[in-house]
Amino acid sequence: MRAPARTEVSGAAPGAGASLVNTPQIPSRLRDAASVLPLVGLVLLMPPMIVLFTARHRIAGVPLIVLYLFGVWVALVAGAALLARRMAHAEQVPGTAHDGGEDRDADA
Amino acid sequence: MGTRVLIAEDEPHIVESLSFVLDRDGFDVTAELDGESAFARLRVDPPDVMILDLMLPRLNGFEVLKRIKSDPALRAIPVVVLTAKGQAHDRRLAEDLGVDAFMTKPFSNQELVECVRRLARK
Amino acid sequence: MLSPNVVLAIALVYVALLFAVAFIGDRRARAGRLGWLKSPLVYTLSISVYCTSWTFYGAVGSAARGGLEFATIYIGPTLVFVGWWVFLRKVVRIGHVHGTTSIADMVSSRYGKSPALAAVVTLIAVVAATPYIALQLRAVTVSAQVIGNAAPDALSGLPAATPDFTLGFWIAVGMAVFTILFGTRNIDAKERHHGVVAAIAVEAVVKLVALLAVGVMVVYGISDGPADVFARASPEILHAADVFGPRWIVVTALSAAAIVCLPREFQVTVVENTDERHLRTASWLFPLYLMLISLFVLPIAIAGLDVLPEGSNPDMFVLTLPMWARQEAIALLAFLGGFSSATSMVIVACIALSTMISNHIVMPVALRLGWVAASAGGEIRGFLLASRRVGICLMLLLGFLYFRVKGNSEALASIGLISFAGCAQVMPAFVGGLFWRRANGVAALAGLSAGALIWAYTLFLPSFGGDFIVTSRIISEGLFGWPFLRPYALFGLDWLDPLLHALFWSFLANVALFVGLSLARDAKPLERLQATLFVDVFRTPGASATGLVRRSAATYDLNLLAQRILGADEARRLFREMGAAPTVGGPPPLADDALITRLERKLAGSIGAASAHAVISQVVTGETISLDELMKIADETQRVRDYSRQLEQKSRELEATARELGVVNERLTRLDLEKDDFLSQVSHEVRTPMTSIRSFAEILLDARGLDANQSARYLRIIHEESIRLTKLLDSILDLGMVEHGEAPFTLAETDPEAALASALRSCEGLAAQSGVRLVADVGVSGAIVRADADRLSQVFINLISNAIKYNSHADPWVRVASRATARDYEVLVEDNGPGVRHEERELIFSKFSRGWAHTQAPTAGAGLGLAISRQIMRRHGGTLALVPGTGAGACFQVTLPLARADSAAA
Repeated sequence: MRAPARTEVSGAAPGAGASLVNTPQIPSRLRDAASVLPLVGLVLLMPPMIVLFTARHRIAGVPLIVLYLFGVWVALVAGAALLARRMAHAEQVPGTAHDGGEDRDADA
Repeated sequence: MGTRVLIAEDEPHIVESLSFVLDRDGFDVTAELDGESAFARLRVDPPDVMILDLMLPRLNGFEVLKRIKSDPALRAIPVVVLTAKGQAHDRRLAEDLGVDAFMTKPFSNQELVECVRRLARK
Repeated sequence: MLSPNVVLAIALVYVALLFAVAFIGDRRARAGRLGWLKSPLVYTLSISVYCTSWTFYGAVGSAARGGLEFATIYIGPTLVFVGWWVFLRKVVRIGHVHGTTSIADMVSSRYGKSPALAAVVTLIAVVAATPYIALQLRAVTVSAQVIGNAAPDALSGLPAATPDFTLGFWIAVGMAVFTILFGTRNIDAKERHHGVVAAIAVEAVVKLVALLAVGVMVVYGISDGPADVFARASPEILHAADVFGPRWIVVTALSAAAIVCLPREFQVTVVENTDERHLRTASWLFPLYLMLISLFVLPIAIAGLDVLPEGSNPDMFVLTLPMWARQEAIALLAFLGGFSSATSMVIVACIALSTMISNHIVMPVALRLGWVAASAGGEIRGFLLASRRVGICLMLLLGFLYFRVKGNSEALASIGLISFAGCAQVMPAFVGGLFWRRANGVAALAGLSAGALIWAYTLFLPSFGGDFIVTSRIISEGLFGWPFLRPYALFGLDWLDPLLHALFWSFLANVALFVGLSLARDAKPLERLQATLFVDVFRTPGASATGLVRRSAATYDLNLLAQRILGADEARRLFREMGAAPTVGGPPPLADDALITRLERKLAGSIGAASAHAVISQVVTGETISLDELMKIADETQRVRDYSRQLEQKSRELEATARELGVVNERLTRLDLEKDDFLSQVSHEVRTPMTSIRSFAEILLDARGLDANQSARYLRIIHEESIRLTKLLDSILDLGMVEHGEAPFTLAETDPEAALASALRSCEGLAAQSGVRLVADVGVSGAIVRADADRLSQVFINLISNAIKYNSHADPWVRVASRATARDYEVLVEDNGPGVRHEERELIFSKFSRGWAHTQAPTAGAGLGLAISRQIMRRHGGTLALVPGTGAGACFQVTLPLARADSAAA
């Protein structure tokens, strides 16, 4: 449980105006994840990664590249939805975002 | 019959010197070398004054003192506590438990005898 | 087949429905009952105005020509929205804080409320949007002709020799009426167009449902599931070799820029945003919408190529496929979907562009020419509304003219990307302005203008195929006949496709000028202020920005100005809110900067930051921006940021230090307690013999009743006790030295067995005297340890003599055994005495312990022996421990590591 102590300190500090203005209820892990998600999408959908899936291979009659493209798309949507839900949760119930349950979920 | 004194002390040499000094001044002295036997003797044959060392084997002096002072039948027996540690908090503890006199080793024979005599008169 | 009249009737009913939705939406908003109008779902659906008829019809066409490349147009926005936290969040926040009315307004406001910048961005947007609006008009017109059988061969999806321009005109008029009715009810661009938003949300649902319906029909009606569809596909569609090349990257980036820079997207995403949290929902819901829109594009394209006649227009597959399959309901739905996507784009684009035209072109010009001098009388409000309405008509007229002139040109097909490329020129100045403090207005203007000019020359103008300004001669031979100025091969770069070519040169010039001039030139004070407010929007407390600009104005003048722009009622309300209601009589009070700033912001919400600044400046006197103050807030934000970073660092350090201190403190407390305890023990151990000595000395001094024997005995006791005292003091000193490592230890390779034998010899006398049987079970040969032989002996003697002294058994014995293991030399000293009580097993090794006080041994030691022995063993790298023996007695074990294990033998 290293994170709680740190978050509390920065949240309670009077001078930490930056993080106060900057939606303090949302834990930094969520904020960072929200910044990283588009980069993950970028890497997966741009060459050279996407070229790896252009092989003329079909799964259940559907070309691999089509499945891959829409699969990544759906995964990005799901990831963004998950983050949005977490953030909404963190905002509504300040404090619960720091608890262990949240950690477990995210690691699972 | 002289004033009866019970000594509880684990150092044989100290027992010997105390016995000699008190005997010489007409006291009737018995001694026990540990707390348990001292307390047993006390109940069977209550003395007029008790001399109690704090650091006793088997049952330490504080425990013996506590038992004496919490027993209605024994409570009246005056107790002189001897200690070699001489720390303030030992003294306070003993006083809280209701000790009658407190002497730090090494003590003067004369003072001890006077103390016992004074307690015996009460 | 449907008759044209039925199609027309249904279209009119649909339009009436949209009017009703917009009307109800507006009514509800006015009544303050926003309800579903304010939901994140409606917000997200309105953003899908991104998907125009270019998507609805064009995506399939693009897929039929280039396979998966069509997806890039939707992947770019997906990434931008999924990454909303990084960029869009900031844009929306700034939009809220500064009451931004358009993309041009935001850019100009960032760069010191520059009117020139706003005008240039507006111009670019208008130029880029015109063909795009034409494209929508064409799509609606042609689709109506196709479904109404007006085309020569309906199934081919090709338009008639000429599109029905009359129909197109009336469609444009209808759109203008709708937009003016619901888009210009109020001049405050920040006051959301709830009616319009409601209508386009409905249209968003219709176009998605329509495209999905066509898709499902294709996959499960015309074909037999996805596998069947893809089995019909030509390899070129699925495996076009170069799909995932540079074009894939560039078009994705372009569409990512477009979702932010397109005026209509900025309008719905930023200006119409009512709640920042809606962005969070849109971050996944909008990508989901795009994904669903794209889902059936490829199957529809494949099926269209397969079943429709050779040479059919792929851009109409969405409509012609259901017609071919005789699914009239679906065809009609597809028509309405296409109609929806076209109308929603045109309506929103016209609102956004007309606001930009009126705020950034008409207003500044009017101000300059004195038409609406702030000090003169008259209503600016009416003028503004009129200019917006004219702006809407103008945009539709331009779009229609373009459609009329270029209606048959295939050039329209690629106009979407060309338009994107034009709007994207704003991107460097826009993004740079939000994240880079140094970026300044001159640099932005230069970069933007250069990029736009190059875009126009290399992409936009040539797209007319030589009919407009750039002639076909210029295209083939270059401007002034200079070959290096050929629009499609600037400076001889002729191997890129035209889109990449234009983007390369325009962005090269744009970014180079923007960055270069930003580095070369310092920003003006107002620019620096705005830069700080924008870049640090999440950090700068709004309050710190006021009091920065020193200016004053007569409240009377300001009130007049507000009345003329906002209307009398609105102005009165505003001034009452600000506590500056005009007083009757007396000299007009002066308004301070706080009031002026508030009014300016309010006006900016109507006419844009640049124009608001301009009109306010006309009545304000002595405007100076205090540079010192400016530096201070810029510094302050930097300081806050640094400070919080330092604080976090420090708090981490402090925590670590506190933890260490805690540990140290605990240890010190323990040591202190040990020391107290030690001293008190020493006192006790010294006082005990002293008591005997003093007591007997006094007896001897008194000499009453003392015989000679007793005198002698008491003298002997005094002597014994003095020796005991001396030994005790020696032991204490010894322990101190061993503990602090001061005792002289001479470690050498020693045979421990010799030390043990010597110890045994020393104890033989004591054992015999006490009647204790001493059993030696020793004889390890060749074990060598590194040790001090005397010290080792001392340990053994201590253990053995203890075992002898405290053995109260009737038939006492002490057994000493030694052995060598692979690594260690071990000695066991065991006795059959009373043993050590379980709770005292560790205690006996502490100083002055009375571990075997209960044994009532006649001779009491100082209680330091075991403590010293254990310390000695530690110094040797060995151990001394109490181990379970064979019987009830105590059993001590000494362990020493062997110096040379190989030579050991048990």
